[in-house]
Amino acid sequence: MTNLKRIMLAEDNERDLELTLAALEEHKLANQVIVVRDGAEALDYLYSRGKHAHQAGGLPVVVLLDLKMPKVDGLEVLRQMKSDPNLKVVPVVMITSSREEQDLLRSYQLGVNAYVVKPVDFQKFTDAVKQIGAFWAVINEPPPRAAK
Amino acid sequence: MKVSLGSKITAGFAVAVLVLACVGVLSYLTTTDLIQAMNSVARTRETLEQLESVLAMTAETETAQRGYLLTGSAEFLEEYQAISKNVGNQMTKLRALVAENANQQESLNRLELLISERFAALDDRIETRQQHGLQAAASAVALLKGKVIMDQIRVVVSEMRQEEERQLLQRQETSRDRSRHSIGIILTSSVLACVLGIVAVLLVRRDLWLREQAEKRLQDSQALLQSILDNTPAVVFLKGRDGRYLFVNRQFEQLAGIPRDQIVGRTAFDLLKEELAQAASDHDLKVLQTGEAMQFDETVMYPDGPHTHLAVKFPLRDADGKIYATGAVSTDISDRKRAAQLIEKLNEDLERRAASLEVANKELEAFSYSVSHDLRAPLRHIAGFVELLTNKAGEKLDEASHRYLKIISDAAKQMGTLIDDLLVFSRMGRTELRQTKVDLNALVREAIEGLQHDLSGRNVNWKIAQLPTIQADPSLLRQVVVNLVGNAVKYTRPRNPAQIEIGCDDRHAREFVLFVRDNGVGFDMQYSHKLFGVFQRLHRSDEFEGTGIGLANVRRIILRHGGRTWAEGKVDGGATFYYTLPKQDAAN
Repeated sequence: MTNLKRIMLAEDNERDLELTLAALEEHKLANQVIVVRDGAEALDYLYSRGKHAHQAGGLPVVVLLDLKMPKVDGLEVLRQMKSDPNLKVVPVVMITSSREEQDLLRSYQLGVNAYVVKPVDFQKFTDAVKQIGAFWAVINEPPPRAAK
Repeated sequence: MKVSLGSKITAGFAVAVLVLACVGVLSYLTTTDLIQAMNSVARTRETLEQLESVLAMTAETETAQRGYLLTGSAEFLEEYQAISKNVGNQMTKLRALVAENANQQESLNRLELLISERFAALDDRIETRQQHGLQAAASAVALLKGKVIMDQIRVVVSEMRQEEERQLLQRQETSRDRSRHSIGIILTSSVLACVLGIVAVLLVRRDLWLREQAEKRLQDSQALLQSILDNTPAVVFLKGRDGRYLFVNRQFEQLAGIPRDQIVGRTAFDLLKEELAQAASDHDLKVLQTGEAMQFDETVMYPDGPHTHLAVKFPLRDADGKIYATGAVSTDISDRKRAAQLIEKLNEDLERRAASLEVANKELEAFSYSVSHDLRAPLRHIAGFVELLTNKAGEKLDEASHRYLKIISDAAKQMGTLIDDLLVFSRMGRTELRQTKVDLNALVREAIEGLQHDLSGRNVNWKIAQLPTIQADPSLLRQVVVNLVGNAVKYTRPRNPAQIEIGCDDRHAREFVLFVRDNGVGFDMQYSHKLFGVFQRLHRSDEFEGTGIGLANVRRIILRHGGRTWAEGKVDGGATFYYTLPKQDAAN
């Protein structure tokens, strides 16, 4: 399983999670998804600590981050990843319902690789998720150390 | 080089005095010369008389001698002796008179010799008479020796006389010449001195006149100054170093309530309350010490109570730069003070209001943030799960159920669009304007290109005027143009051909009035006030799609650019939408 290109999905909202997974399912990407429910857990996984101390999946090929999460929010996860030499090579995509200028600006300042606003229309939503999954998990060539 | 009038006058008088002095000296010399000439004429005359007298006496001695010779009377002898003695005296006088003339002296020597020779002969005959009697004496006379000598004497006297007369003539000539010369010089010099004197007098008179004029001007300017100082609203006064008033203007008089001649010479302590006088005199002292103009706030008592004055105090210096007085111009600034206090209070109010506005703005931001996050999520869920439900249970559901699910899904999407529009609208009010030069013609072209999808299959007659280049935020202004042109395209959909006119009224000084006119469905003017409101629509959405946010955005953007918006229309008679933008120089 270690050679599998895995997607990390950080999402606190159960319904959004279900919809996102459904969308990924539709494009046969769901079994590669690592689901974490907040920013703290996402960092635990990435640093192999806490309940993910023994994770064997290695680093994901892409991290899909919700902006608003309990404990540690998406921007903070992004900041820590981009300031860590090991993690900063991992692409990060913000998937959020916020189109606020300050969120966009802050994300790009911290070095986000893409920023996607979740559409209300489910069809558009699944298209967006599919494109993200397909691009980062299939088409994009990950950095050499990303899939160790 | 400019020579002062004073030195010119001094020089004029000096020359005149010098000329007069020369005239004086010359006159003295001439007069002395004349006197000398007169003296020598007198002396010549005396010499001539003396010569005559010597000659006459010599002849008389002969007569006396002859008498003695004839009579032998002692009386004649005595006479003879007296006369011959007298001749000697006369000769001594004569010698003194001709002492200066060598020729005459020589002639005199000869004359003396001849006379003594003559007297010797006479004495000789008298002796002959005394010893040898009348006969012997008579024969001696007959020898005629005496007559020869006498003739010689006469010749010498005549020569001497001629010499004297010649000299007299010469002296008179010289004296006359010199006198004539001197008189000429004296006359010329006197005339010159007179002219110089007159010139000097004229100059002095002119100087005096100029002085009078200057004094008159000085008086005029003093009167001018006085009337300016009396008519200024400020209180103006001068004080000597000892604090005594030297000058006060009318305002000071009125404030003090006494005439100025009772103020001048007194000090502030005589007129004001002690503490106010002390403050004023401290201020004066500061000016005297530093030698610089200064400003002070001073309290002045008015009939209605104390007023605050702004007093500008300054030192007055004499020609040597020494401060001899302080001047003051004191203005009532109570109103200004009150106004300043009012402004301060208003500013505080304004700051408080701005602070509360800022809080409100922050709340609004938080609200729109949560709207964008929290309201959209449930909508997404409704739409998402309806979709999932349709996929999962689609086959089991009847047509009506499918329709209901579609309505739920559409409603959720529509609400999503409304929320998005609302967020755009709220952002519009908050984002900063980034103004640059914007070519409206290009914006209109781009807007029409962007509407190609809606224009396909449509027959539209465009009438687009030349539009100005203005100063604006290009992305915001693009939304205005897209909205208005888009509306025109949308609401002319039932028209064939549609007429759309885009133009600009450039006749106003401060603003451009731009408009988009169409021959579309128009609107009822009684609802025109609703046109630019948020989510206000005058048509059903199944007639013309839209959320009702477009014109609200247009108004908001134009207001932020300092312009206005309005519309004119008629049901089924088309509509014209106007907006204004300030002209460049007016916008600056």
